[in-house]
Amino acid sequence: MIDLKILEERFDRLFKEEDSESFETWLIERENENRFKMLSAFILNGVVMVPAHIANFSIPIKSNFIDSDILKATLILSESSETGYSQAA
Amino acid sequence: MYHTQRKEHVRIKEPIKCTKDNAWLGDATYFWYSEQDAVFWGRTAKRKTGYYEVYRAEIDFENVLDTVFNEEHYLLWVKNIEKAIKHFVKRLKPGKTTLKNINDFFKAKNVYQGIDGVMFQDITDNPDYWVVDEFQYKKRIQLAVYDSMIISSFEFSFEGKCV
Repeated sequence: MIDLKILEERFDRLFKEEDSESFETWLIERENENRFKMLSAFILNGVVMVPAHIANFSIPIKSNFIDSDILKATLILSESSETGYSQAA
Repeated sequence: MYHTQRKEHVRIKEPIKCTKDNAWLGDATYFWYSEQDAVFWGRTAKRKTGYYEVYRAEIDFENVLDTVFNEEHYLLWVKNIEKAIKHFVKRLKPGKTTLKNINDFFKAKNVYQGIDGVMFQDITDNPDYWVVDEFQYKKRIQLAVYDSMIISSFEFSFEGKCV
C-alpha cells in the first residue's frame, strides 16, 4: 500500500529544493541524452546522413531509408554541429 | 487490463514499454482499463501493418497510485501536478515541457520510489463516447506501469483490423 504521507513529503521536498532552473537543466540534459542515443543508433545502422552545408559534401540517400527517423536524425546533426557530432558522423 | 500493439509476424511474450514523447505519464508500460479503449487505440494508432493485437494481463495494484478511483490518491496527485505546473512549467517558455516530462522528472528525483505505476484518465476522441454532445459519460483510463513485476498472466486476447 502506498504511504501517502511519505509521498507528500517527497513532493514537498522536491518543490522546496528544486527551482525552475534545475528542472530546465534536467530537461536539457535529457534532450541531449536522447540526441546522443539517436545519433548512436543512426551510425550503428550503417547509414550516415550529414547535411551538405555542414559536411561540405553530399551522400547518396537510399530511398527506403527516408522516413521520419532519418529526417529527425538529420535535424539533430544540424543542431549539434557545435558539439562535434557532425565531425564524428 | 489490456495492452494494444500492432500485429507483427510473431506475437509478443511480454508487453512493450513506451518511451515515446507522447507517453503521458513518462516511460512506462501502458495498459487500458477497458477493452473498448484498447480496440479503439489499435484501430486508430497501431496501423502500420494494418492489424492490431490486444493482450490481457493481471496487475497487482497494491502500490499503484490510483488517481481515478481512489479519492485520496487523486487529490494528492492533482495538488502536486498543479504545484509542478506552478513551480516549473509556468516559469519556462510555453511548450517547453509536457506532462510526460514532469512525471519523468518526478521519477528521476525518486518521488515515485516504491510506486509501481500510476492509473489516470483523460479525454478520449472516440466518437462512441460522444453520443450526446459535451456529455463525456465514460472515463478513458490508462495505467502506466513502472515496475513490470506487477504484471502477470500476460497473454494474447484477440486481433483486429485497423481503420
